[in-house]
Amino acid sequence: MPAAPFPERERIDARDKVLGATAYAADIPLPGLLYAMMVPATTPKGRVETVAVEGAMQVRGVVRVLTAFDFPALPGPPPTPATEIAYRGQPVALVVAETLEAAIEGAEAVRATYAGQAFVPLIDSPGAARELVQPKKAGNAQAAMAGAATTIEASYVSPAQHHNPMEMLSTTAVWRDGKLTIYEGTQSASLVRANVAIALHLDPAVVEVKSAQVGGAFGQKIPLQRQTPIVALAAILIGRPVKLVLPRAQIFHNAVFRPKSRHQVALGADAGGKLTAIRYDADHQQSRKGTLEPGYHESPPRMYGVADYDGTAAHVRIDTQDPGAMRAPYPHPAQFAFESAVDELAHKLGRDPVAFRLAHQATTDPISGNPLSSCFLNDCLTEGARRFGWERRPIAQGAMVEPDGTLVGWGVAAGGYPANVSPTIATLRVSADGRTRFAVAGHEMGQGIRTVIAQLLQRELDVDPARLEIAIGDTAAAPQHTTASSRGTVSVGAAVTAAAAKMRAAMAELIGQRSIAGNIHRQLATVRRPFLQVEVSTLGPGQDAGALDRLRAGARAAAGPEYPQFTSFSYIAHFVEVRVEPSTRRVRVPRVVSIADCGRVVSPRTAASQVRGGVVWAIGAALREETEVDPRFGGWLNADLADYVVPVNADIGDIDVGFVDRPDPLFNAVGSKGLGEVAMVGAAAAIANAVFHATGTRVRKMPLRIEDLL
Amino acid sequence: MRSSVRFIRRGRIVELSAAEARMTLLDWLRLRDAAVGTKEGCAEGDCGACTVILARMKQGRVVHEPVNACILLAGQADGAEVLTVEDLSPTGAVHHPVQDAMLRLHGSQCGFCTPGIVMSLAAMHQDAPRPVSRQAVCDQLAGNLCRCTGYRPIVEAALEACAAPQPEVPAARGVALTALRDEAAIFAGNDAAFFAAPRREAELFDLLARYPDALVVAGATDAGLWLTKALIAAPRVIWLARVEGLDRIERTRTALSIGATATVADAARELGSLAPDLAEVIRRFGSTQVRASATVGGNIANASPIGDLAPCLIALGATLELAAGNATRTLPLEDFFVAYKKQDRRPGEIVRRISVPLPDVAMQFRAFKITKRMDEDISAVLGAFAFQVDGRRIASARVAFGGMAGIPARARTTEQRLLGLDLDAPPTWPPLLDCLAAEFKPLSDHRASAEYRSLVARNLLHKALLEIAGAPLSSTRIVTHVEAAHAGE
Repeated sequence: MPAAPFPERERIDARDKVLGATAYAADIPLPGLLYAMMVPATTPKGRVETVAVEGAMQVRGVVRVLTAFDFPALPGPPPTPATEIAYRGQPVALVVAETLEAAIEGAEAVRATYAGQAFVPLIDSPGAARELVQPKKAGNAQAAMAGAATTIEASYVSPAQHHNPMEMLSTTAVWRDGKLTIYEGTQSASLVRANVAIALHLDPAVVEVKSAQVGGAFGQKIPLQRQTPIVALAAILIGRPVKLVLPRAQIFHNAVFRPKSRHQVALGADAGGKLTAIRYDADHQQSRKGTLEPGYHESPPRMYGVADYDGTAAHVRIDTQDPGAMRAPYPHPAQFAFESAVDELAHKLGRDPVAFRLAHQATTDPISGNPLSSCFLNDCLTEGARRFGWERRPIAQGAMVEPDGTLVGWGVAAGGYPANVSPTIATLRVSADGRTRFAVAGHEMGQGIRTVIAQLLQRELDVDPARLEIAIGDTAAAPQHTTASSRGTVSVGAAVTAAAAKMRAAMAELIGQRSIAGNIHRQLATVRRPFLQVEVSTLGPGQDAGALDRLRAGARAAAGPEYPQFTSFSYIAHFVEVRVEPSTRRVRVPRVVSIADCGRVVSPRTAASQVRGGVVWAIGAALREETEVDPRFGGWLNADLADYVVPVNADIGDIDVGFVDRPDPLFNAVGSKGLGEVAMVGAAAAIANAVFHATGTRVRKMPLRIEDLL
Repeated sequence: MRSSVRFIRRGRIVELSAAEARMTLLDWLRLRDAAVGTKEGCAEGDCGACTVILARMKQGRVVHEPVNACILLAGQADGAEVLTVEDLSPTGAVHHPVQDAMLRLHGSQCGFCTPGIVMSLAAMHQDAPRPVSRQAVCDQLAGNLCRCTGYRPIVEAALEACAAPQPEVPAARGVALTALRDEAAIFAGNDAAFFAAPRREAELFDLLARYPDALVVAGATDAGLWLTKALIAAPRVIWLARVEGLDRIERTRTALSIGATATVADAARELGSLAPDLAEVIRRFGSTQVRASATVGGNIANASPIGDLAPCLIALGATLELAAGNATRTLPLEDFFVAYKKQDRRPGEIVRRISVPLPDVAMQFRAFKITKRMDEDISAVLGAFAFQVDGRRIASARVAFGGMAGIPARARTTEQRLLGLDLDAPPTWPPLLDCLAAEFKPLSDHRASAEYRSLVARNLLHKALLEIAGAPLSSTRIVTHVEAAHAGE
């Protein structure tokens, strides 16, 4: 039976955070610690011919310089310094020194020479290689489009972006007694463990990865980070702990990034104004050997119950570092395009954009043919419109003008995101002395997973919250899934439910028919049992035990959104007011209302915060953030926080957040779907739609620049 | 002569060697003091995660200034008490009102920016006169980036914490800071590598003559980046802030005179009193942390092509006094800027002070800073305009722009054409406005395209003329959306 609503509670980790007592990876004190600095390639493509390290070795305090020649040769590109340079900024050497100053000075003294090669900097440069992937189709969109009474077609662009969590990428590696321990901010401790073992020819059993606190991630910390095995090898060769914190500019050039993507959308409506056909072709920027799929057909088919869908997708391979997932990797750019197009169609039909969407309640996934487990998007739209005051919106553009000439516009757009789940292996120990320890997969990167776990555990069992240890982000505690794709709450929800049930059963067996007063700790003490420990494993709907093997191996183990009996998505509706200054055309976003359907809300406080943060991300994406390539030299132009402009406080107005908070009946026992990703989806389109309503100008690329509105 | 840098840390006087004095304060805290609560997020003064408080005696009272430790040399903390996030609630229980409000109102998610935000707000909580407005909180937070929360809970926490009366400064702090004061020049290190802080101009000129290659810093908010981003080696550092009298701010009957090492924060009130628009430019200049360290002289001497203050001061007719030994010379500010990052400054010469004539009642000044985001953003274009109005006609005009050329520059032809302009005949203005386009060939970059810059420059001049002609401000300006969003409160 789905859970009842959860109460509001304080974050369990906030106390340490405001005290500055939370230790992130780069804060861990270690005796004998050495400092490292990376030397980046100064060519965008080519081969390293020589690396002169003598100058660096003469710097007082430099201990060792590692280059490609120190690493085991492997088939395929190793994630270590390589002689083949695929992008500007790729690591050429690592300088390790007694002090950070010496490491920096040493890195400056390393001299590399290259045999340069011609390179392809942009997706529209000659030499960019287009590579189609499997299309996504349902019904017969071609016929439906041919029979449509009204059609629109347009192209949209989403730029390259970098995540820029506040914490910089760092790795600290310790080699002691034949064991390698890596401290770093990652979303995938088990994946890091597996891949470091492969890169360095180690038995995974001698590698542990610890990522107890992550200072923001947003997808940047999903894959193996470029520097990790390099730092690990340095620690092994030197026999002392080594720490590397990458400067922000090096992060821009070595971390994954959101690839630039292009979206061609055609929509058809029948004579009654019903959306009947969708054609959608997407492609994105890709490195020569990168694997991030162009998976843009996740959300658009699952929004409005349209049976006829025709989608293609392609890579466009150029010379760059590997792109990766960044918050709402596919639905954010896809829904910017799709929800802009829906707005364009509604406009062409003369329909109110909220009423138009409400007329398209989805119940079935056209791709799988299965029902949607739940879709309360219409509840989101109705509640959002009520709170926003949508009924006062004039349908014409440019109809709301302030006395000073400011143009006001109101826009709406919706989002969807797959509801995913990971298998889990968890251990729960409750002790007579009042302690509780729960070890499970998960990485705390700001979303509040520890608070969610505490919330769920306290509902299930009468444990002492003050003495609750939640061991996550640690391969030594439990196999760690990749904490991404909004699967954290759902996955730990299953683990807590299962562990608590098993614990209750064990308690019942222990106590038998006796009636013992007090909480679970007290009961254990009374029967003189020091502790009880249970282990559980859980699987997503339709998964078999192979998923647990993959979880243990640090491989991809999650499921969703298509399950054997149903498809599951979270939804959201965003309502946005924009104000466009008359003399400069600056766009401001003073007011947003966002209502989410994420199933049952487990932690109301962290959930609302996730949505606000997601909306801020969309404001940044719609109006500010773009990482620009320098086509003459390769590499990124605005590789710092002065020129990669993330939103500041003054950019943000009121963001009113609400939840449908109706449990999903099929997906899991708690009734939750996911939230952190869907929070952002569609909000950028709502801004663009509001700008159209204010100005009559349709901007089909992000970020919308003031120039576009002159 | 003192051979070490000294500051107070957790009740003790810390003495730094030359090498330590040239580290950033952030590195010193994290690597030498094991105070890892303070975070590094960008190493360039943009994100504020490294914010710490420097408590100093200023004009007989203790002030608490939030600064970016990542671009401040540890030596610059000389004479101050360095306070970090760990010091607010030293027992480990949350008792500082800012920390308490951040905790209860959920101002922290991933927590990485939190220590810096707590310190920014703690400085405000200690020093800001009550009541503290929402706008004041937003100004204080301009230099702190948060990528998780959406800021709102942080603003609420600040307002709640600052709703309480301003706390007393612990008496011991003032006593300790006073005891630490001395009149000595500092020279830590040797000929090859040192951190020097002369006390008198003569000592400064000696050092400059002996070490012409030394890195001269005032607030180091720009020079700090050369160390942390360009990774230049700077074994010899001369810090100007201890030179007596060089930070003096004086107002005579005809001019406001600002010493080169006066911080932007310290000069803000006097400068802002010259014209409301100048106050607004300063409000959006860098961030609270940057303004606490950055100096007016440094902002001029570094000759950024944008540099916000320079075009404003050029329009106001400021002059610059340069000195080398006993020789001084004065030149109009605009003549100081020769070409991109190239100034008319001779070897051994320093910018001593800048003098701004006090505007008379017939003078009309307007300045507009155009950026992508509202706060803490480098201008795409900054336009500054000073007009003398005689009756309903322009009697003299000074028009200056940042971001339109390699240097802050006057639009001399346009100024000439504007003479005699009839404020009551807007239809006659367009040919004069068009004249601007011929005077500048701006660049296209990621801040703005050349076309946009040209068009906005023209529109800003137009806007200034409309306002001076008497158009109501409600027709040329909109209230910030922060004000709009909270108008009812």
